[in-house]
Amino acid sequence: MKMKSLHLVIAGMSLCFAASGGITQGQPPFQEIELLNTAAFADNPSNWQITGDAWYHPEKNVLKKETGTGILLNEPSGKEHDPIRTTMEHGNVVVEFDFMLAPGSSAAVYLQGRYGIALTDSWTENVPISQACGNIPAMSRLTGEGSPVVPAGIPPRMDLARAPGLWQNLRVVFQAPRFDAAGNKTADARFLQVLLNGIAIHEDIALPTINYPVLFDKEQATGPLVFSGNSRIALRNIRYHLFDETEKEQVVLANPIPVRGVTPLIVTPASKTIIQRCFLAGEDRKLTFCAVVGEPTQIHYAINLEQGAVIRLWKGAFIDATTMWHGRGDVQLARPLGSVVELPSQPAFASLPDRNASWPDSMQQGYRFIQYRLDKQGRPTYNYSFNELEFIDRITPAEEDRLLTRSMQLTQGQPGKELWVLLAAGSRIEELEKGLYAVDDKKYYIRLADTKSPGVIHRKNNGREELLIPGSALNGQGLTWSYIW
Amino acid sequence: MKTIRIICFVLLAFLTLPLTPGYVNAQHAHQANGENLPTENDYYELRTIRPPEGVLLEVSGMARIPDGRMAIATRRGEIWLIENPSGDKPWFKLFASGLHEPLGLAWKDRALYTAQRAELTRLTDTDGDDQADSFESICVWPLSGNYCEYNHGPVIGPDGYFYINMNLGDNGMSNKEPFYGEMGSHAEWRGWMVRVSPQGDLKPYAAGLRSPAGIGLNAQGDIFYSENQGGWIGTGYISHVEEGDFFGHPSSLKSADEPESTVHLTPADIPTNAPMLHEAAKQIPGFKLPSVRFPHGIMGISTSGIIADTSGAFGPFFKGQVFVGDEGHAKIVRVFLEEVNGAYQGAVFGFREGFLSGILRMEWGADQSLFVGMSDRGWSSTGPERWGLQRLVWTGKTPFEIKAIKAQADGFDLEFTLPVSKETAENPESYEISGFDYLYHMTYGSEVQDKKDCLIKAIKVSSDRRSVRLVLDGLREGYIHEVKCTGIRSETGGSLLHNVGYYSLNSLPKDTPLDLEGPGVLIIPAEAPASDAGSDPAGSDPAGSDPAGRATSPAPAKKKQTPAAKHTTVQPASWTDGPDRTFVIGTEPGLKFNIEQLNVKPGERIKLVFNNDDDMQHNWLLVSPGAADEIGKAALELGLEGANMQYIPKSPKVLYHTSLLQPRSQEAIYFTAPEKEGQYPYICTYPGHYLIMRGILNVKR
Repeated sequence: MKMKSLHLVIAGMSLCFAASGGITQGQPPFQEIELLNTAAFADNPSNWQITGDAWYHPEKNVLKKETGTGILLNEPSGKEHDPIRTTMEHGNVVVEFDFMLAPGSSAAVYLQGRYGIALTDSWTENVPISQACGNIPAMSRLTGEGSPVVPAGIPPRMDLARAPGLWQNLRVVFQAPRFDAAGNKTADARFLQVLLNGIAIHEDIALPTINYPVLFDKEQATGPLVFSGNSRIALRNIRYHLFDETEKEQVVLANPIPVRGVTPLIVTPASKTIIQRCFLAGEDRKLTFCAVVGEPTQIHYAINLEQGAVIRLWKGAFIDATTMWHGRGDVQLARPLGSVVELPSQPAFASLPDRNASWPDSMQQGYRFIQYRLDKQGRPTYNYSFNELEFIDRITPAEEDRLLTRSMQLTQGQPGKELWVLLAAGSRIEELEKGLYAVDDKKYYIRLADTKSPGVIHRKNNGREELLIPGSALNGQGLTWSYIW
Repeated sequence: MKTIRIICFVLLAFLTLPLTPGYVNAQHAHQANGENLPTENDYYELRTIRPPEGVLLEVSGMARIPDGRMAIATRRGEIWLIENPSGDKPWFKLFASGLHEPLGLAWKDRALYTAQRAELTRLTDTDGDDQADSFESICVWPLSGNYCEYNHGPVIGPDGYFYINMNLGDNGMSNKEPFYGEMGSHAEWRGWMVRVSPQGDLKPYAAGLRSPAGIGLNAQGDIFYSENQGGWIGTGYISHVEEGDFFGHPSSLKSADEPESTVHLTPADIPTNAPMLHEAAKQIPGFKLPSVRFPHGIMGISTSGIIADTSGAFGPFFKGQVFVGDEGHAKIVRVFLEEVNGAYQGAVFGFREGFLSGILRMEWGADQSLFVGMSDRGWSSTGPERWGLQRLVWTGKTPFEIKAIKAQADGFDLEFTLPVSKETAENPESYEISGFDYLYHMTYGSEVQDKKDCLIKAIKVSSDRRSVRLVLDGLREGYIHEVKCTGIRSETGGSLLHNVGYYSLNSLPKDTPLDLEGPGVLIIPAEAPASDAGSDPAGSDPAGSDPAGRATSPAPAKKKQTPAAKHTTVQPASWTDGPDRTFVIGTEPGLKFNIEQLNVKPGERIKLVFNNDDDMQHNWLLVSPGAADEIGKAALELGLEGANMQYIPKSPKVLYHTSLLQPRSQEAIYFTAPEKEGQYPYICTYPGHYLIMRGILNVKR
């Protein structure tokens, strides 16, 4: 395939590109809770400590931590599993923090120490949506008050949990309950908005009563921010902003609405895999030779066929095609729903004169996308050629649809020493154990199927890190790796 | 002799009766009228094919499969196979999905081919379950990602290659390409017809395309494309395309310096003084005059699919002719083509209106009915629905039509489908013939230019009365000629189903002129030139359309405004304290005003700013209560004068109006709200828009 001159990139097109990069939301003036020590917290339960970098193995009971500051880590034991509360007390508040869970963790955050959101590892086991990360646990009955009781909890709109050991983000806009002068409640507390990993999972949920009666048994106008102590969790970047009524509109983040006043055209895989050809937003231009692939089990990816590159990974709802199919479709972009992990759009393989040569930005001369073929489930297998070489490339959900496994194999030709495959690229790549890598500050993992894999190169190039593997790995049964997020 | 013919007719009627349920009703209608007023439906009936519930058939491609099934591509990227498509209960099966706006479909070697946004794709069902499982990228091309970069096709040429039209991109609201205009080429070969070998090699074929929404073969197997009015394109057309042709839109020339380019022009070759198209064609080397131009608003407003009747499926009389769909007007026009001096030219006629929605694609069914696929999404059409699939079936009856207009060195030869009455055919008053052209300029569309009547010098009716030879004065090479046969009747007194054709006289034949002394030639004595000025009821001054005048003012002139009271663009001096109310009204995509209700009090002084932020022309007319349809239709019927009159009919029911505004321009008008309370519709009267582009001015105390 030859992609010759684009005459010019249309001015103003960048308007089309809704930023969906990092999962941190950012906002007006936040107060940071400093994690240099535990001074910001009311008592110092011994199960909580300040550390440097920390990491839970996604499958094993392994914690790696470094001494230092910036992370609040809970290591509960049978005896010591107390919650931690801030000295700060809040009414209306926006709270944001990053959190990392261990396999099987079942932690929670409590606004005003009373109104909880579960931070559970719903990645490791297939749990019902009612127990997925971000659920609002059932309200407990209060004694003697005769308050209305909500019998069951409220599940998140979708399960957006990331794998253990990866950083996730929660953003809560909380409106405190209101009381009259006599102390009678005049308005319920509300979760105005809860975003998990950047995506709204709750909006405007009334909280008629508290669901964590451990520290407090009565509702009040203010209270501390509390994290439960019974489960392994690491926290960082805890920030808050106390807002008054006038700011309400600004602190609740607008949901992206592709075309105002139009019924959204949502595509949902029903019984088979969907592959939908589309344009996707790139960094500085539209990527025009792409496909999004969605599974009924809600694990999806996007591929740039121009590069043979997987460029988006997400779970939850599939895509919104409104801007493709409403009216003329003038914006003409498929918008992945759910929480997206973005990967750089660079060629999956390239010919390098030496192992220090820069990785090219686009496919080299001689590349051609040949075709894809669908199996009975509707899953595509891609087919590329690169000069005299031919590859097949198959990306399939694995391990009960928790991750995607990619197998690339040569079907024709013998790769020379100059052929390399790009496994990952990012600002930072950490080898956590043999064959397991975390990319971009533990945003996602790359795991090689064969840990004895020959000749992986972890290199720094042009201010970023890359993971390369020699093209000879594509011989025989080929090269298999997983995207885990 | 006469009795035999009657028997034949009866026999024919009897034979076709069981096949055509609408036949009896049509006959009744005739008798009830008491007059012989034919309707299109008497000859060509529409049958609607309804897909199963939940299937959205925005048809964008059609291909008949040799086993009789019809494959249908949709704009949302599905391909359906319809088994027994002409039967009572057609069976729909989803063959493929997830394609990116495929805009054509072709069958070849047991596979379907379609042009998606980014590639030409070959879809194959390899395991025989009627579901595609192999999607091969035959050829991939660059794009900027602009929504308007449509790829129409493929059509498989006689050489087995795939021909595809690459639409330009929309330049949007900005005026960032002041020379190229509202449509631009932002990736290689946009604005070109390209040719792809079965091995996937893409070669540019012809340039200068703007919005080439149709591609097809004529009866001889030559490649034609259809073009849409806009910047640099004064009116729509179809044209034969040969390698190296240039059709006029300069944006495509951005790729002309590529080594493979077949067109060697630069923007400097393009005149910017707004010549008429036939003049531009002489100035620009390699410029191809379109084979047949379709006067805008009369022969549709947006050409799409092209298909030839090679078998006489619409009657033996139309065998070899070409049929062209129209998206905006939901109709099909008919084209007669002939070769003159080595190039195709010919005439366009009305054929069949009243489809469900805007027509995009057409394909012959195995039963010789024409499958017509529709979607007007994003542009709107006069049809009542937004998409649809219908079949057009010939009832077996012969419509009385101008079958063909053939150019002669000294006039035209008109052929009819039925014998004409000699009396009407020999009466020069039966005809009105004039020539005109359109401008070649960056401005969207064009008014009719340099319209002049032709005088009939002689008439010769053929012995079988099926053709009439007209010898004319004032025939002009390069001009479109309107040939109206208002007075012509058939031998049995019938009126023509469509009594006008438009012949693009790109080239005058060199054959021998008619011998005026010969047998059967009726010489028409020259009249006093009294009728000369009568051709332009709008009052345009022929002297005002001389080349110099046009060169200095290519924009739509305001010189032809209707009386100022209805169109006041300067605040009246008496409004010393300004207007009582100011409204700013814009447009929304899909032919809509962005405000559909305005409330005023009787007699209030109103300033109304109409901001045409759309990419097509619009006007704004306030009309009397209940008069929206009447005025909208009247605008449609202005015919060739429409553009010059800015589609504003002369009627007391037109109360106030703006000018016809170019895309992305605005105008303020000042008027006093009616004294009488009521609901006053406001409409855009650009041909066909009035059906949906409207709102209400509520006048209430």
